[in-house]
Amino acid sequence: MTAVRIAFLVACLALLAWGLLGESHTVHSLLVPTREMSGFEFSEAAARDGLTLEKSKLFEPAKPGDPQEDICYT
Amino acid sequence: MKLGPYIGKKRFWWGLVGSSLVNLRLFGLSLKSVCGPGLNCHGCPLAGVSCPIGVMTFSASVRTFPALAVGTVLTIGALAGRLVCGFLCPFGVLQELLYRIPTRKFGLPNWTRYIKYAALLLLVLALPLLLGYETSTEARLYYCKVCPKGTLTATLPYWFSGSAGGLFTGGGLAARLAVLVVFLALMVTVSRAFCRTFCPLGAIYGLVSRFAMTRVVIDNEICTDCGACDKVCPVELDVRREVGSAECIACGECIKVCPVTAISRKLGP
Repeated sequence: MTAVRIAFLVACLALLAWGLLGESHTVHSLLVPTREMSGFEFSEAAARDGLTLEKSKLFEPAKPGDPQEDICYT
Repeated sequence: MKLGPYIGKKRFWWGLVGSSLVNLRLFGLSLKSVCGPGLNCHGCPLAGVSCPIGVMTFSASVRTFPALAVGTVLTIGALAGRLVCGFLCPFGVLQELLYRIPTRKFGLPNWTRYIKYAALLLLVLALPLLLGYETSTEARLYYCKVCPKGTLTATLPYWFSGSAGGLFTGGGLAARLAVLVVFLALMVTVSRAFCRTFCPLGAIYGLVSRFAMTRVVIDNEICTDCGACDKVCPVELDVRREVGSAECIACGECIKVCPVTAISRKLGP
């Protein structure tokens, strides 16, 4: 069990490291050029429901001042 | 401060620390690019960090894997098991305070503990993944739409302040309020009712707690079967059989009352 615990912790740390350093999401927008979003930016966008999925692509809100920029729909 | 058998002073203060950490806007800070360790609605006007369950639900609905959020939660779980549930979760503190209201108390049948795993699987992962995301409807039954923590700390403040602009109306609002009322009533009459039955983050921490570097263990050779531990367990476990299990929130109340120190906290692999 000791080896399993260590292996699990290492796997979790590797996933966290990937999230911190390597996570990337391609985000499209009608206002700005397509860009890559880091894990931090994605979490922040998720917290305000700031992305939509259209035809398997992530899009930022089309209109500036869209309500979802200000308030989470929770 | 006398807080009674189900919430020790130390855990109460840790709970206040946890509440302050996730409500950073109280101090003018906002770090929603990182997830907090506990269930904390990021829609709350005071929230300073993101809710890991909220991020996971949203990510499932836009069919994206949130490595940072999942990595954060799993790493916390791998290091500390369910310590967050027992010490830092603001909703846990609220539940233990509400349980102190003097009314008739009830237990829960064992099968109810599996509801939180179903909630994790269905409302956090499967339904958002299958049905996708749509901002214009309240009808989608995702976890956040019925989360009592979210209703209490986000929906109601926005609704009462009028800043939701008609966002929370009709059946969706009624369903949220109904779930909240049911859980508030349960919290008064059943110890840690929400943690035991409906918290998907507790389900995740519970699933990984078996592999955690911190856990509560019992030495059955020392144990005298006095049952003192069972009487103080906030999640009403059969401590001698279930301490350190997925349901144990690692609060350590049983450690304090064991007359022969058969129960202890173990650190390391």
